[in-house]
Amino acid sequence: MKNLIDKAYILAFITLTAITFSPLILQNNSAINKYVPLPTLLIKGFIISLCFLALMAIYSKLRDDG
Amino acid sequence: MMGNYIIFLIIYFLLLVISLVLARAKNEHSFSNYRLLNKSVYSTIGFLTFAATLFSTFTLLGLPNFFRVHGIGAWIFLGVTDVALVAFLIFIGQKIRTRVNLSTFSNLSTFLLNRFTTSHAKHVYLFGIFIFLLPYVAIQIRGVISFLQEIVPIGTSLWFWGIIFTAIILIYSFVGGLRAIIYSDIFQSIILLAVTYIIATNCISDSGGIRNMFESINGSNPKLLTSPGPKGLMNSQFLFMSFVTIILMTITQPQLFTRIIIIKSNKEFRKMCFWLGIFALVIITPTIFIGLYGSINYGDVAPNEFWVNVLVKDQNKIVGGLLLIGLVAAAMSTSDSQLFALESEFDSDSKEFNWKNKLSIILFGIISLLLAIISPFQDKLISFATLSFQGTSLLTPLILSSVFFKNPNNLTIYTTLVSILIFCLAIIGIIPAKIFGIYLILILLILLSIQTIISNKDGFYIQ
Repeated sequence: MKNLIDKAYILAFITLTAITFSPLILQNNSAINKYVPLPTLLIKGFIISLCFLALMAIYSKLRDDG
Repeated sequence: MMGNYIIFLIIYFLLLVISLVLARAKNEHSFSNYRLLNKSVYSTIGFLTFAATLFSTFTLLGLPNFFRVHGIGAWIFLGVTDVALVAFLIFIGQKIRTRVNLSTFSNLSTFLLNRFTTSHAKHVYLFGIFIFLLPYVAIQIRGVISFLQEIVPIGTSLWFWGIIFTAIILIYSFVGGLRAIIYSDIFQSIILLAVTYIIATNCISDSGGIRNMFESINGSNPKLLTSPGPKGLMNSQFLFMSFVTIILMTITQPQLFTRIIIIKSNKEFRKMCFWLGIFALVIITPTIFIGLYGSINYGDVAPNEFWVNVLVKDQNKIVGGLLLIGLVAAAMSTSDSQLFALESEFDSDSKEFNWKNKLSIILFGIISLLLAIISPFQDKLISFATLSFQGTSLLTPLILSSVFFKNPNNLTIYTTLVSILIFCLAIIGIIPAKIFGIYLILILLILLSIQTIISNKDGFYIQ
């Protein structure tokens, strides 16, 4: 079970990393977002950071529960 | 004005002396306690000391300046990468803690010595960390002394503050042990966080709010709000190269590796990592606003002028004084952790005064000071720091093969040494930093990893 959690975690980590450096995040950004007065790149960067944090929280919880 | 800052400095140094006395009073006379606190540190203290070691002077100096010059793309380089670093740490740190025998582990160099069939592994590792921690310590010294000289000038050069500061970190790391270092780390984490938020709030308020701040930049220099930024640096390849080399520093830099080992249990370790991730997000976010405020008001000035204006002259005296303490504390906690970890790597099994090891560390301190004052990278704190991350990342295959391979192959030792030498040649400009448009460090890391995996014939530990 632990091995399975570890493998799933690594897969999710690599996927998030790939998304971070994909055109989805780094390209096609307008300077200021239409709906929120922040740069689009900043919003996307924040979302990616929060995803990494959420991933850690889930992993930690699953490992704690054994 | 100058008198106020001197009073703040005196108060800070008194606090340091008190923490040193307290730490010495609590230190038991055992190697494990002096160097590794009996590997019984809880997550709260663990995350504060890890954070203080990771986030140094360039949190308040380099980061805002990077946002000022390169814009929002720097958030991927700094914010996302630092949270990912912790996400990597929670996994790899736990694996390392499971694989090394925590009850007998003293330092990484001894571990390498035991895992490979030749002592060359230990020597290559020591060579690598000695060479590449130099720029990292140098930027701490440079950042803080140029700031001190600017607001409390003594003489016409940086030598006075440079010598004083280097002497203090050497004494502190020699005398108090890991406990004293952790005391100063906790103090630094709290004050750095508080000061960063106060200054960021002032910057936002002076700009008329967040919306006005971004709209003003959008009107004057919209390239600051997208990647790759006005200078074109924040492109995918640079960001990816920085991402890889920065997340690897948790296992290759001894001051961070030590903090993986000293945590009481795996459960506490995971808890520590989670809080460290939150802290990374919380501490880096306000530096965006300090940097953007700088790009609006001090867009074309030199970094030193930007720092002094934004961090001191535009703030009230108390904030300026607290900032000064925060900066000195940040530089102290990172540098003394590095010196202490370096000394621990050289000195495997004794708390006794060993002149040979102490002289190595004093030599390291002196070279760092010289580098801080006379190097051509003086105003490029982050660029100088990235040299350190990149250089130590070359040690990754050596370290990971020692931890995870059943019988690590000696060939990795020599290919690591060759890679370090090639990278050094690139730093001094003899060979190019990019080959066929790809960063040399990425090429070296890929080749080293392939060689290490191919030469492993006996399998690895999965647990």
